[in-house]
Amino acid sequence: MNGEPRMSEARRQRELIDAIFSTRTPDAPCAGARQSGTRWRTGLAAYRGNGRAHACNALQVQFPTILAMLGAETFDALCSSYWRTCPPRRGDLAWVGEALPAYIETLDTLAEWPWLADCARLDWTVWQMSGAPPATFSEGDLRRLADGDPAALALRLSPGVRRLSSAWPIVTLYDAHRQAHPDWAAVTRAIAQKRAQTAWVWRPRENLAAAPAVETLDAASERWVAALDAGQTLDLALDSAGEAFDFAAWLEQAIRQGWLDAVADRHAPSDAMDNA
Amino acid sequence: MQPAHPMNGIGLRQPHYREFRAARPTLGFVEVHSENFFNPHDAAAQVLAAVRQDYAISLHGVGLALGSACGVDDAHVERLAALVERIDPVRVSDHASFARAPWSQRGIIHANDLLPIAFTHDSLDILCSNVEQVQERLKRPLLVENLSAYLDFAERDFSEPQFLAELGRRTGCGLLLDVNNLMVNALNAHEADPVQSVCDWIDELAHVATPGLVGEIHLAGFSAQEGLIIDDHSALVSEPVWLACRHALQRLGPVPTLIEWDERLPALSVLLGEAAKAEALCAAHRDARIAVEGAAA
Repeated sequence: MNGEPRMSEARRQRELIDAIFSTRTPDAPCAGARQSGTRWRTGLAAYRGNGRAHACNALQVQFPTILAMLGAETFDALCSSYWRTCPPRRGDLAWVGEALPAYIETLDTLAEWPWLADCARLDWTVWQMSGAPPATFSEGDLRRLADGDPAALALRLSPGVRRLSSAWPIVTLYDAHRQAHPDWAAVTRAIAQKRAQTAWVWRPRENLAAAPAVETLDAASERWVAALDAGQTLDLALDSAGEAFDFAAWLEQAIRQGWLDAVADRHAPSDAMDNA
Repeated sequence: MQPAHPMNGIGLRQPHYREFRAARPTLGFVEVHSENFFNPHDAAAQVLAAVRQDYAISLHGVGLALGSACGVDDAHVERLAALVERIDPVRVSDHASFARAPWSQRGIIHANDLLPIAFTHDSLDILCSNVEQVQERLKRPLLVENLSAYLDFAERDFSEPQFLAELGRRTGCGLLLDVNNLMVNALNAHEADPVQSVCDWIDELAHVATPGLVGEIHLAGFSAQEGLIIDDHSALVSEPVWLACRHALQRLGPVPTLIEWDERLPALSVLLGEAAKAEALCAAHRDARIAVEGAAA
């Protein structure tokens, strides 16, 4: 040892992390690295390359629509700048895309496609729903629904369903990038008209291995689901949905697809706690 | 004839799930990346539960970041604990690396990589503390893997084998000996005789470590990229790594031995062919040990 004070491990680690996520390569080695010159630069580049590649590979899986919209090269550049600007926070790459939609909104280079961030939100929602717990709706729930007072009951949505509203035609765009022969003229029209859509995403109960389904919610269904999301009782939720809403048809599909978790009794103490 | 108790394993990756479950090859164990199975509800979890019915599972993590001076992520440890509870693995492992550190004004980030730690007293204290915390939560010992490191540090109080042996002594954890990582390090250090260098490393470990420290061996392939040898698990196990593995088994005795392959994944049959070579090596050393012990008795 040369008698110089030793570097704390916390500082050494901060310095190496700073160097990895920096846009420039320090000429002199940092963090007390033994390597210098070209060897220092190639070593640092290896870590940058690894981390970026891990993140980009995961993001490709999590944002297939954005990948299809931008093409591989631009998507890769987006992933690299995202990884560097918004480094991962968890040691589980399943969460690496958590902040990508918000990051896209900050980029002037992508401002030409203002629907892109919401399309990313839809991709992220689909990704999250692919691992959501399955619905637990039971025969008992169905009996409670048949026998109970609508003013005292609430339908609890399954964690495998999600509603996502956008000022843009996000479901049309999502579908178009999965079809063999999409009607691009219709897609272009929907964008030009700035056709707002609310996506309804769910993990199909009958085939949990399948990709989550994505559909557009009509206005009545959207009001209905929003009311359920807000924990409203059945009678109030039906009032919100309006007369055009076909509850029986919705319920039949909800049970089949696994949209519901339970029928909650609003008079029961445990449900009161749930909504406190 | 199939071995009664095979000691070989393969890393099971998503593209092989269907074929693997159909073929049900004879293996001692199957290894998966822990983080890919944290979610108990996704499709991968169903696959792992099915595989678990036929095979012992070794859970190999890449995200604990056990050497991080800022500590391990409690939420990550909890998810690992839940997975361990569900799967009851034969072994649980991660790396002697860091990845978590405060960054800019944004709090603690995770580099999603296996970043090198210094072989200093302070670094050993950090690693021991984090390993003990995880072991306490999991209620079982970990195996900690030696790294392939593209940078290392001038300050050091231990050689790497001494450092890892001391870690085992202080925490009760075992060592996951990655022979390919040793070879990658030797090649990147431009050692004149990389195989000898790796064998010397193994000899030193055998000399300083508590017997039985090594609980699993990893073998893999590497590639050359932009002036460095990269441990990307993208190729057949190289002949020098097989040679070093033979030496490790001679010095350490038969140890469960895994073939890792993560990039440019080959056909399952190729992976199983490598695993068969590993099993043949393990069996030869097991038989030799039995013969020696029999003669001594």
